[in-house]
Amino acid sequence: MATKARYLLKDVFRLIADGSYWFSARPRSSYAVIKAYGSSGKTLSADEAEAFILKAIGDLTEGHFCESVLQWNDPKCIADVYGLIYDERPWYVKFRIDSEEGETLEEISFHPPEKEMKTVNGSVIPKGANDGKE
Amino acid sequence: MAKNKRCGECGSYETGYRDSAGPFPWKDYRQVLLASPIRVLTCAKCGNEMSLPGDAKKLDQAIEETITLQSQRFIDQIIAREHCRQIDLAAILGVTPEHLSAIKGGARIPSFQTFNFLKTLALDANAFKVADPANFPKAANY
Repeated sequence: MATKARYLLKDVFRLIADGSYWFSARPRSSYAVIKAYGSSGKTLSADEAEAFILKAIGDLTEGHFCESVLQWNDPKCIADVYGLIYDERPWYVKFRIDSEEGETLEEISFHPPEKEMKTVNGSVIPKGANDGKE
Repeated sequence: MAKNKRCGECGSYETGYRDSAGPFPWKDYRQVLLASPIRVLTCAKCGNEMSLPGDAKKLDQAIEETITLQSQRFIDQIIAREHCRQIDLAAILGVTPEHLSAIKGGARIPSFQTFNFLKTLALDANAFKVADPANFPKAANY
């Protein structure tokens, strides 16, 4: 298993700071976050959910990395998967940097893990309370 | 010409902005159906929704407008049908008169709980009497 991510986190953080990002699957990211918090005291609008996700990604370190995966069976599309505990909850995070037209961070997934995950630094990220995605 | 964005769900390039009224999950609302559709970046192949910077703010604004409009209608409906004062309606809802005024005026968005209660009172003519706080159930009835 590769222990190094395909994309450097410093590039990920730079693209977020530059506003060069987009969310390519709302049900797997911002909607999943909204639903995860829906019945808690902390409820999130669509914009707040996206801001939450970007802030959480900003907390990632190399040790949170899990694996790189092929997207849509396209060898040109590799995404990095991370697992972390953020705001006392487990999260599955997947993104890639799209270089087709300039550089953009494509945020693909950010939701409670559907199954247990193991990061390269040996941490076990438990399955989420609900998978949060449709 | 700029290439279409690729769908994060199925990988299709058949994506573009389309009119959508939802439903959308939002805060403690399981889903909101918009009063007027907005343009949402959508995959024509699988229906997945995507979001470019700025899209989420537009969605939030549309949702807040819908909830405000709907809440105002419910409040007006209830008061007209029951011939009650807004202060009485606030007591039934379990909110302060000031909070209900703010909802009516569009300055505050009600929680889903308050909105759902308003909806029930507006759409069910019997619910108002049942919900009257003066009608506390007698011990023998439960």
